[in-house]
Amino acid sequence: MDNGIYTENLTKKYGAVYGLHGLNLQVSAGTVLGLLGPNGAGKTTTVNILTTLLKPDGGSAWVGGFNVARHPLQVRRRIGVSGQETAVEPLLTGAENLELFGRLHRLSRRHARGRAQELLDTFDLTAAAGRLARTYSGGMRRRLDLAISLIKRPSILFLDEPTTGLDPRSRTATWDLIRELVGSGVTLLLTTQYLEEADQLADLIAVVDQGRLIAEGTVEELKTRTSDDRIEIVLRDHELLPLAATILDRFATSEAVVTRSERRIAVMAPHKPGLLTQVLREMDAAAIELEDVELRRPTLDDVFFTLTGRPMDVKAQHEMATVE
Amino acid sequence: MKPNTIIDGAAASDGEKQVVAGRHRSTRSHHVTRGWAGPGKLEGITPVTFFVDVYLLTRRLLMRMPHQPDLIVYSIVQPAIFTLAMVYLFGKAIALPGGADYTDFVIAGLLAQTVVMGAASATSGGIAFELSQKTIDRLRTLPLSRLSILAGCTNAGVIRAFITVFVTTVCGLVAGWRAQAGLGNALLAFVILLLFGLAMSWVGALIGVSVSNPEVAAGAGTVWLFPVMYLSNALTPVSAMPGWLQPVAGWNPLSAVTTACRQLFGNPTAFGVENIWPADHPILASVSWSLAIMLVTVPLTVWKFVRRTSR
Ligand SMILES: Nc1ncnc2c1ncn2[C@@H]1O[C@H](COP(=O)(O)OP(=O)(O)OP(=O)(O)O)[C@@H](O)[C@H]1O
Ligand SMILES: [Mg+2]
Repeated sequence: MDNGIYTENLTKKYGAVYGLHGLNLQVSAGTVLGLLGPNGAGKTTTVNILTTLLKPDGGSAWVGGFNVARHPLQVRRRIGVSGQETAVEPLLTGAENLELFGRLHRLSRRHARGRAQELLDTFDLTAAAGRLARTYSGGMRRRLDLAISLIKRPSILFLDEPTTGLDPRSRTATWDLIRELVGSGVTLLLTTQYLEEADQLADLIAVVDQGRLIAEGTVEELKTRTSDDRIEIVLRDHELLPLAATILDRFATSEAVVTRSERRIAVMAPHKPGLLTQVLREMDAAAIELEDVELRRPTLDDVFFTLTGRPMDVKAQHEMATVE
Repeated sequence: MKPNTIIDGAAASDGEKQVVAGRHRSTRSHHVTRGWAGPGKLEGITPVTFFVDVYLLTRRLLMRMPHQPDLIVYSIVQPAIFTLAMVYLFGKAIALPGGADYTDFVIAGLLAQTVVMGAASATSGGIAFELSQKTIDRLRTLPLSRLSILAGCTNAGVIRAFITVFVTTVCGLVAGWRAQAGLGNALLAFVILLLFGLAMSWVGALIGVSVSNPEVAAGAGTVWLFPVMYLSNALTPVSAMPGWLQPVAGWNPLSAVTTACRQLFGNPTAFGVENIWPADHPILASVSWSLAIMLVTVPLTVWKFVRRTSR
């Protein structure tokens, strides 16, 4: 049985807006694909189509060897899903939730009960097992939701932003768990806005933006997509931001991103010795006082920026819009 | 590598052999077990798994009830007040043809009306609420038929309505009402009420999937009930209505169910309209109405639910 995930030219329109615009993805069996993109990129739309929740308007998708539109039940039998928003029964206890969904997955009552105990243990929920899910904290509900998605030991797993809302300890624990799962041969499609998460868990990363695939590869491959360095300066006086931006522009290979509230300007610039010294000299000549200067090798953030001309960080995007 | 690892829907259902990664896949591995309704769509769902799913999905909603004590109190207090008010306040004011006792007359009507109102409003509100929650999406990623998800909701609605049926029956007994045609007939009356309640629950479900949010459902789930309830013989004899309305009331499904119950309880029927088929065959009419209503509402509800949730 092929446990891979494939999409071909997948398109979804919401009215006149494209949620997906011809997306091609390929996740080989037993590997992890990190679907990375800013808000509104189409990550959830992709997951919803692949998990048979949404009908695509164009293109096709196959999960576990079955066309999602033609054989939705065959697909559902093979997948586990944890959506972006938690979906647990608030008026059932944690244990009852797991048992219910286990039985709906056709596990016997005994098997479902045993599996529920196991997962409560794994997700550190044993103490809260008998409490109504309504009384859980956001992070506990998230963990219960993840546990439910694993009740049937799916061969293909979809996790839409699985660690959003988890504290650092739970996040690391969840990462360990996901690694373990993947070790046992599960195919995983994971969406995230955290570059670190993609970096930690994914074999391959697909960067999506505005419903399209804009880059794909291993973390290392993506980082070499841009050979440029990133230069960031922080001014003492925010009045001089426009002037400093024009100066930086002369060295830059990208448009300057100005974060007004932090008096910070960031650009990508060629990896060239002496470049930073030259920048500093020019700033000095223009009587621009600097509070902080940073030069570093590119991160995935920068890759996204190079590919789209927009920062991945939502806050920075917003700032940029207000400066213009 | 993509094209030959894919089992296309058409190819798979033709049962063709496919070459996957250089190997022959056995026909068995993708020869899907056909469901009992519709080609291709219900693979692996059998009547047995369907009924187990419906049971589990009904229980899912019923398990919430102990944690909603206010809901239970309301479903007990409301029918109690209503029944006692009808019997003690209005009972004296309404004259029945042939001088029959109003309490004997009205209990069957109250039961039928309670079942309509309880089932329809519980289900319309319940489904609209479900649709506003995320759990429904999780259910939709499970290997269940859409019908079983909806059937869970309609069953839960009927069961809630039967709490009020029980309360109404007890209040009736307290007020002196009796079923006088034997236990078997009385039980049959409750079966007819159950079937009709299920039909009304599906009407509620159709409303629930059609409205945009739970607040609208609360209103839309009940407005249509008032003409249905008042244009029937549930609380007053049809003969008390203007002549041109009498046939409307005569053909009202609620009148048929009420009359069937009266007959099976051995209570005064006092239908008051001559030469109308449902008045002469109330039991058959009740069952036919219930089945006919479901024949329309069940597929329509499933269709609307699928259309609404998968876009
Ligand atoms: N139900 C809907 N109706 C209308 N537009 C929608 C709907 N769902 C999504 N969209 C639009 O489709 C695009 C993709 O949305 P999607 O939810 O897939 O993004 P995402 O990558 O998951 O974003 P986020 O990181 O915020 O979760 C967005 O522009 C969004 O506004
Ligand atoms: Mg999303």
